[in-house]
Amino acid sequence: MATDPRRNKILEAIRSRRVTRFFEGDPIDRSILQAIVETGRWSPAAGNRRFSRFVVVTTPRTIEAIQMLAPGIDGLPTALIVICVDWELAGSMGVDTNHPTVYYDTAMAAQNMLLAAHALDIGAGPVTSFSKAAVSLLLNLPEWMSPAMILCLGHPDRSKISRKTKPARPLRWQDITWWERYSASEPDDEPA
Amino acid sequence: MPISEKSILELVAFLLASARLLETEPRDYGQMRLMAAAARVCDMTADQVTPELGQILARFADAIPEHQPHRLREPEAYLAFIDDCCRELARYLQESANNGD
Repeated sequence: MATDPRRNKILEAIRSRRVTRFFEGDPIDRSILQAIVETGRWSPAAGNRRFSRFVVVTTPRTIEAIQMLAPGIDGLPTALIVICVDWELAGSMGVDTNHPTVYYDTAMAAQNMLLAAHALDIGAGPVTSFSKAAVSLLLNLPEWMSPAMILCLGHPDRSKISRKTKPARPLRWQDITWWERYSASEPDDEPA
Repeated sequence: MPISEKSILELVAFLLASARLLETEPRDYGQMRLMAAAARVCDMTADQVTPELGQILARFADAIPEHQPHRLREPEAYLAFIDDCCRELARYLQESANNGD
């Protein structure tokens, strides 16, 4: 692996990943979906206690039904990875719905899968605006499992990319980073 | 073209899910969802009404998504756009009343 940050493929994937909201209709090969969802299993998890469970959906009618009850889904993906939480397992370890680490774990699994999708030229975007009640029913989830996030996947519709106008001044990492400690003055570009 | 059952189902599902989600989502999502729903209704019904109203609704169906990206960056201009839409409907209603429709 290249150690030059400017040539490292993983860092390049992180920098170039964008959310995809509109997709072409071609299905994603199952082997690709398997490779993507596997990276969710390898994400970090607090105490290595894995409460995340994944439901992969490729049936068009199920995806359409979920999309209708998910205001956060714009286009029509060709696959979904629904990240769920096993609350029975979490509860057995003293973790309840007020415990934030469950949601951190969901986010880390999502990030792994979003990057994996990008690395495999699959468009992807995370969605949390959906009816949990409806999605639970459509996916036949048991009562002790709830959907936390939906990853929408598909081949990007490149005719609909970059519809938004870019901000006058893009946010840089330097704008949101302090070295050693926070300061009320402008963030430093360099360590003190 | 008659309104399809699928269109109605999509709209009702969108509104119900949005109502539930507002319990935990940022307050301004309400405006975003209502405008999106308004655009859908306009698109669904523009050819079901009088030609004059249909033109207004067709314009709204196009203009609402066009203005959506400016909602956060230019909030006052976005509100002014919504006010313009409301005024246009008010004018149509006033003229309809004057014509005895």
